[in-house]
Amino acid sequence: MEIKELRGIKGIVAAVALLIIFFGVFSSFLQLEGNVARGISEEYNKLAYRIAPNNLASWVYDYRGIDTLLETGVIYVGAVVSVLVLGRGLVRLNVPEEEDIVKVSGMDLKTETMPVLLKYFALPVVILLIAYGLLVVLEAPTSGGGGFQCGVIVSSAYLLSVIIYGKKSPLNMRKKALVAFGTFGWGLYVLMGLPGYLVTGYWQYNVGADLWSWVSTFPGAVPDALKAVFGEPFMLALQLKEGISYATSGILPIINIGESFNVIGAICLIFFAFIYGWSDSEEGASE
Amino acid sequence: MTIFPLALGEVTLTIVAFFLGILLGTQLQARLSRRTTLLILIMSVVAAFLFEAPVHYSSVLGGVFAEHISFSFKFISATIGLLVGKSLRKEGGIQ
Repeated sequence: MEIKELRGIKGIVAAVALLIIFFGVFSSFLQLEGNVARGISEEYNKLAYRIAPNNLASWVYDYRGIDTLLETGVIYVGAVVSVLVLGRGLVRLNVPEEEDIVKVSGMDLKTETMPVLLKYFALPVVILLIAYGLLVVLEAPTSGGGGFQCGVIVSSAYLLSVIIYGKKSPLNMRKKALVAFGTFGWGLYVLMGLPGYLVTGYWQYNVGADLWSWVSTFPGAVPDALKAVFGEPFMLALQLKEGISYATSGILPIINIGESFNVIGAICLIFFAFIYGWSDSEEGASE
Repeated sequence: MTIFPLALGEVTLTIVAFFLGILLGTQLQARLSRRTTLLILIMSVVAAFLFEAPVHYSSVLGGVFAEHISFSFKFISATIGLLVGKSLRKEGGIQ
């Protein structure tokens, strides 16, 4: 848009909008001094180690759990929409319905002529990559990693497998399986909010760690049985300078697993649509 | 080093890794020879040694054998789970 186009009503609307934004931002800067609330971050940092040694995991999946849930939703919805848009497969995009699908020879590698290195090591690498993805998601509470990373690693294993072996890839994820992974993951994440909501009124309150029950104004109390079910299996003994401190990540590992399956389903679904195309009648990889 | 885990969290996730490995392993459609399977397992153990157990773990069941000798049992468990899951699916695909 050029400046000339801002004449008339468009120009007036633009000028009014800019004035509102200017005064809004300017006045907020004037009110800034002495009114900045530091929020709850400092207190939470002091408590977060009681959930998991990896403070970042506590922040992302506990403190900002609902935010991450919505981000997960965005990823999955984005993947589904991408599949709907590109679903016929890149190869088919510019080809009339009547014509056959263009055959891409690069996708049909013959394993007999494969280099020795790829022939003997590609499949083990794919399997070990998946195992690494699982390691990353399961070690999220104690070290770096998480559901997003696991999803991306497993998806890269899927892509690697397809690049090397072509359409008849040994990591033969079917369409239904990918959809099931995605929905299972998202569903698991959402459902993990239910126990906390039922006993405290806060969605995704970490009933296993039960971090805030000491606050007198905190509504509801987590029953010991619920605390044991979600907390005991993930209990760790942290050897600190002050002595041994017991910490449980509670629902965090379960949420992470849900997150990872959601991302696996979402990203692999996009890869699937690019590779095999999409239609209700086809099963894709199985054909 | 302790014989029994101070806390259950050091063991639980290894078991979870096994079952998740089975779940994803069912998506593998490959015929693996014994030699390849052995190669995968050896590579898995080597990788587990390189990854090490998390610094907060302290028991043998968590993978800690000495101060600087520890294994990521989750990785080995996930690999075994993948191989078990693969065997549950009918064979085919690449040989």
